Parts: sequence; C-alpha cells; structure tokens
Amino acid sequence: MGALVEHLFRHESGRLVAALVRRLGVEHFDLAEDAVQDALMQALRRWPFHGVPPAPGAWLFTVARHRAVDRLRRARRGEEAERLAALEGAGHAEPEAAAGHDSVALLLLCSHPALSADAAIALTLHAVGGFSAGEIARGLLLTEATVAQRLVRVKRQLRDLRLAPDEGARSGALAQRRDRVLAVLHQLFTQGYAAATGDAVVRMDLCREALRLVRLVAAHPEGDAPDTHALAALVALQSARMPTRADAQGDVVLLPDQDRSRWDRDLMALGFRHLERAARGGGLTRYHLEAQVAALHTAAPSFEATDWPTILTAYDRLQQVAPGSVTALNRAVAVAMVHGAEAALAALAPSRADPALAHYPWLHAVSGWLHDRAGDAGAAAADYARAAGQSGNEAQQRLLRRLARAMDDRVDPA
Amino acid sequence: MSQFMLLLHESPTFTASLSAEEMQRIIEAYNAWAGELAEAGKLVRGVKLADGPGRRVARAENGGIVDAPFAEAKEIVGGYFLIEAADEAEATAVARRCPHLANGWVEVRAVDLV
Repeated sequence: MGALVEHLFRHESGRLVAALVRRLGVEHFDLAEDAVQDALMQALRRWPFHGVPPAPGAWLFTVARHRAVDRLRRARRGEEAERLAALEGAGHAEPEAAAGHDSVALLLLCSHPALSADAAIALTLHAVGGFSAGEIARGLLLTEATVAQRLVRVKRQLRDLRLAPDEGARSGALAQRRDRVLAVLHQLFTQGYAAATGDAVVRMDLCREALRLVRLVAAHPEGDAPDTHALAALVALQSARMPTRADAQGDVVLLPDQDRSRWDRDLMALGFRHLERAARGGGLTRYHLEAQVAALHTAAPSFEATDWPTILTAYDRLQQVAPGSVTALNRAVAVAMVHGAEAALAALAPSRADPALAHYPWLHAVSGWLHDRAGDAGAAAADYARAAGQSGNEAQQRLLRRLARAMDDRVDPA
Repeated sequence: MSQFMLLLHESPTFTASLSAEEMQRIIEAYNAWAGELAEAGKLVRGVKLADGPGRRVARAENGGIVDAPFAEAKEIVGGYFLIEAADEAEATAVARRCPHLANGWVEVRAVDLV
C-alpha cells in the first residue's frame, strides 16, 4: 500500500483547481472547486478500502475532470463540458512544469489588483494552497466565519470582473504583474509569521506555503528575477527561526533568548542560496534589504555578537525604499545596539507620534526594552505594563507582564 | 485461524466539511491500520460498497416481492474488511483500532467457514 506524500491532498487540491480554472475560465471557479472537492471525497471513500493507487495525483486529476464534466453537463454548459471531456484522452497527469504554470496562472488571478490584499491572501491560501477556511482562520488569528465570508465575496468580485478566460495564463502576464504577486505573498507570509502564538502547526504550514508559492514563481521563466529570489530568501530565513519563537508552554521567546542551535539548517541553506541568486542582476528591493537583515540575524552566533552596524545600514536604506512604521521600530533596536539606548530612544520619538502604531503593543515593548538598557527600570516597567494592556494576545500579555514585574522588582527589590 | 467481517457503519450524511489535510490524515490512519494487518498476513480484503444508487432492498410484502430503494436509513454500511484472527477477542481488538471509529461504528461478525 503506497504512502502519501506530505500535504499531497492540500497541494493536489490547489493544483487541480488551478488546472480546471485555467481550462474553464474564472467564471467556473466554484464549479472547479466543487469538482476537486468531489474528487478528494471519492478518494476518502475508496482509498481506505482499496489502498492508495500507484499514482494518487493522476487518480485525483482524472476523477476531478470527470466530475467537472458531469457538473458542466448538468448545468447545460455542453460546449465547455465536451471541450474538457476531449482533454481526457490526452493523457493522465500533467508534467510538473505545466502544473506549476497552472498554479502561477491562478496565483495571478488571486492577486488581481482589483482585489484587496486581505481578500487576495485568503483566496490564494484557499484556492492555490488548498487550505480550508478553518485552517486559514487559525493561522491568521481570524474567525472562521470572517474567512468564509471573505472567500465568498472575493470569488464573486472576481467573477464580476469578467476577466478573459486566459487571464493569468497568457504570456507576459506574470512579467507584468510580478510586483503585485510578490506583494501578496510577502503579506501572506508576514501575517502568518506575525502571530507569534496560536496554532503553531498551521502557522508553520502557512509560512511553508508562502515559501512554496514564491519558489513556484521563481521557477517560472517570467518570475525568475532578483526580487523573487530575495523574497524567497527572506521567507526561508525567517521560517528557519520559527521553531524557537515560542517555548513548550506556548510562551513567546524573544530573539536574544532563542536557542539558535534549533534554527532549521535546511531552510537557512535554502535562504542563503536564494539570497545569492537575488544578488545577481542588480536591483535593490525591500525584499533584498529585509532578506539581508534576516540573513545577518541567522548567521550571527548570538544577539550581542550580531553585525548590528550593517543591519542599521540596511534599515536606513529600507526606510528610503519602503518607509514603514514597524521598520522604524526595528531600526530603533539596531540604533540601540550600535549607538546606545539613549540614541535609540531619541530615534523612537517619531514612532510615538505615528498613528499607525497608536495601538501597537510592540511600540511600548521596544520603548520598555530601551529604557531598561538605559538603566531606567521605572520607565521600563510602565512601558511594559502599557504594552501588555494593548496586546490582545494572551501569550504576548504573559511575556509583557513578566517583563513589567521584573522591572518593578528592580525598582523596589523588597 | 478464523475469519471475521468488520462491517463499517456510518451515518449517510457523513460528508462533513473536512479540509484536504484532514482527509489525508484519515486516509493515512487507514493506511497504517490496514498496512499493519496486511503485513501480518491477516487482511483478506477490503471492500467498498457503492454509494447512492445501487443500494436497494428486496423484501416480501403483501404476497409479492417489493424492490425498494434503501430509503432514509439512519445508518448505512459503507464497506467492510474481511480479516483473519485467532478468536473474537483478537478481531475485536483489531476493530477497536480501526480509524473508522472516529466517525461511525464497527460491527464484528465471525464468518461461518463450515
């Protein structure tokens, strides 16, 4: 009895939806998804008794295509049904490259500029990645109802755009919209990575999926570009550190305290390989700079012994290329390590007035950390307490309260 | 060695909204369970019964034979495994480990080989 490749169902589901949507057009998005769901259900009903067939992917593909033909006929879309049925004789599974191109075409649809980034992320994970609404919700700390609604709405929106049937699949499409696809994948990764706690397995899967999709783009002739490789490097290097960001109790572990020996060596190596390819051909994007920072952290033996001057330079350039509130905060940490806590507190002043950070607990957390390093435990305790009050996440609150208490104890050891 | 039939009963509405990943986990669980039996030479066969059409009941009624659809059953047998076991205790132990228990129940019947 054959064993199943890890995540086979999830990946095949995305791949089959992509293949069907590419042949039938966006108009039949739901039908394609239903046909694929039918095929997976068939497998679930049969394989327990008969075992896994020798080529499970091809089996699923054939059944999904049959189901799509049936559904089209029932919907009196005879012409499309026959066109799809005619393909049946053309062979079994598609070659790997064609499947990758199908997925990239679907990725392009999901990243259509008319869709909001949040909608694009949900649809990408669902349609291309094969994640259920529940899994997406657990990974991104949303409710399942929110994700389900988002998916219904975005599919309707996509249908209403009345895109050409070959939208996403025609040559030049990826070259034209690579920026947008990468931006969606970058956000997808950031959102999956940002929630330091929650369902660790699903979040790791989400980040792995981001990596898989970026690499799929990189493997496409129109996607093989320095910025794509830079994003792949960023995602791989950050993902390498994921296992150490929470301890066995689910408590947040900050970078200085992480066990670096447990960082994922394979992902690190992959990240550095992509970083090398990102450096070829010139061009400096935000992904290059963020990947550079990630690489410097990953390569450092300890927090203190990190190449902070180079990280600070990278953040300075990042603020020019893609100014951002969170980048400014991260930069303040680098300032502290290079020029000291006092300088960093001064650098933090604009962030305190930044409305985007008004409810962001890490602003006060960073401020607390800087005050602690500057020797002002009282101010640090107040900052940590305020950060804890702003955090909506239990594990974050536990960490921030613990830090606040530690500062209080230092002020008043009795 | 005796033979036993493990009949897998389930609710006909069991088509819960499982994610792709969850479906794969279920199949993997069966794989492990049936694989272990097969390796020990105790799995005779697994048979999946057809869903939906093809499920009819013939029964004597009012002096004639009625051929009726299998209407509104509260539960159905989705399939069965034929296994070999030393005795009922062993067959029951195998049934207890069957992944099907997560969404239905398993009936253990000794096969009358004589």
